[in-house]
Amino acid sequence: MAIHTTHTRDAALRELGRLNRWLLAGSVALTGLFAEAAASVFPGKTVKPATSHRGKRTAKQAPTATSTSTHALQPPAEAPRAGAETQTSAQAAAPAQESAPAQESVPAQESPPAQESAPVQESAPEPVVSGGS
Amino acid sequence: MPASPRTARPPLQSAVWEAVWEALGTSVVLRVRDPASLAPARATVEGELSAIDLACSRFRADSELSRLNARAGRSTQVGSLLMEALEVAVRAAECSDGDVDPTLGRSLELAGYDRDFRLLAPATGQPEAPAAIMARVRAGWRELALDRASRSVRVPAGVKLDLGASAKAWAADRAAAAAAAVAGCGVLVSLGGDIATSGSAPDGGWRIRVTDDHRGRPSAPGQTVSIRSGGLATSSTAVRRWRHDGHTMHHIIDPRTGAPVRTSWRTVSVAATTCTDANVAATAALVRGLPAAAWLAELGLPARLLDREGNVTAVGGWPAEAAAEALAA
Repeated sequence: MAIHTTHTRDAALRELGRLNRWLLAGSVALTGLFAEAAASVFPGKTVKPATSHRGKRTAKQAPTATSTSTHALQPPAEAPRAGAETQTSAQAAAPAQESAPAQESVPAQESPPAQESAPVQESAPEPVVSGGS
Repeated sequence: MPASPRTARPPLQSAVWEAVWEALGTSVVLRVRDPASLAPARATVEGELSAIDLACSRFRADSELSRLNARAGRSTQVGSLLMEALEVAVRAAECSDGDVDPTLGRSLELAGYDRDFRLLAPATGQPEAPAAIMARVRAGWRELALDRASRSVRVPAGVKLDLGASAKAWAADRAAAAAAAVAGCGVLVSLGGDIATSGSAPDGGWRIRVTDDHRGRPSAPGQTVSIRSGGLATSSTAVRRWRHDGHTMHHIIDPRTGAPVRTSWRTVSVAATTCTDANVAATAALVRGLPAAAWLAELGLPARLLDREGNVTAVGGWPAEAAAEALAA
């Protein structure tokens, strides 16, 4: 009786083991099939770097700025130049600029209401200030 | 009548016309090369800034960003302008390896920056901010989900976005481009010292004084350079400082600690193809600390890094300072 019970138990365990293996293999296969089906039905969900903008994505996957589309900070076409020479040049040129016809129209620019709080300055040789803000 | 030698000589520095006003909580400087274009250029810049303020301000209850933050954890539709601002912010995070992070709104609030800067208590010599703000709530920019096709955004629950690290410079780029298109001439737009140019530059280029504070005078300690195109931006821990919980705070937050960054640099100026890129690089350099000089050089970005002792490091082709400027720095 005891032997019979033991054999029965071992046989059941073997059967259970086989069943588990089949279930495991089946679930792996089904997962693959479902993944493939989902990838073809919802291409926006794939992890491949796509150029299209379809589908929801996290910020990590697809940031695409319209104005700056590259993913590296871009250096300028030309490096800044030392301003000291420019300052000297500006000072040298200033008298010539005073007689330029284009500048005679400056007072006319002061009349629009939009500029009332910001007086127009003629030929601003002073540099614009860039600092922390 | 013979031409006078003065007028016969080509001008070395073209004339420019300027308007100055306040917007986005900071100063706006507009310079144009054609006097007749100043008024329409200004109107265009004002329109751009007004639209961006309404879309991106963290301090306006009626802004799109405030509504988006209030709906954190849920998918929310946004307008095209805010969507673009968010994409720019995410790209900034990517390009800086997360040093410039748009999900730091809570950290800024915990540091006391929870209202317009002008309403904060000024710093008066309090000790530096704590090394970390432990109660911070931050998911990180990678968790921000943008769906451009449907213009929907999902901010992670508990997170608040702050676009201050990228939106101002981006606004300068947009405003300069729009103004130049309307004006048909070269344009410079400065928003609190973040400078964007568009169109042809004056002879000799656009002259810029880089210094600690954008409110400084053109004679403030620093260096004068000129650019012919692109943008130039400066970030500094020496300005926008306030008092909170007995400490001096500033607005450059280290994403790793959630606290104002403790950096070896005081002020960093960078030139790039856009003001946005220049600003991202300058802010990231402050967060990155000493290795930033090599990072900027590797990217080929001309930059001037001023340390806390006043020593200048120039990389990427940034011009050398005149002796007098170096002493004044």
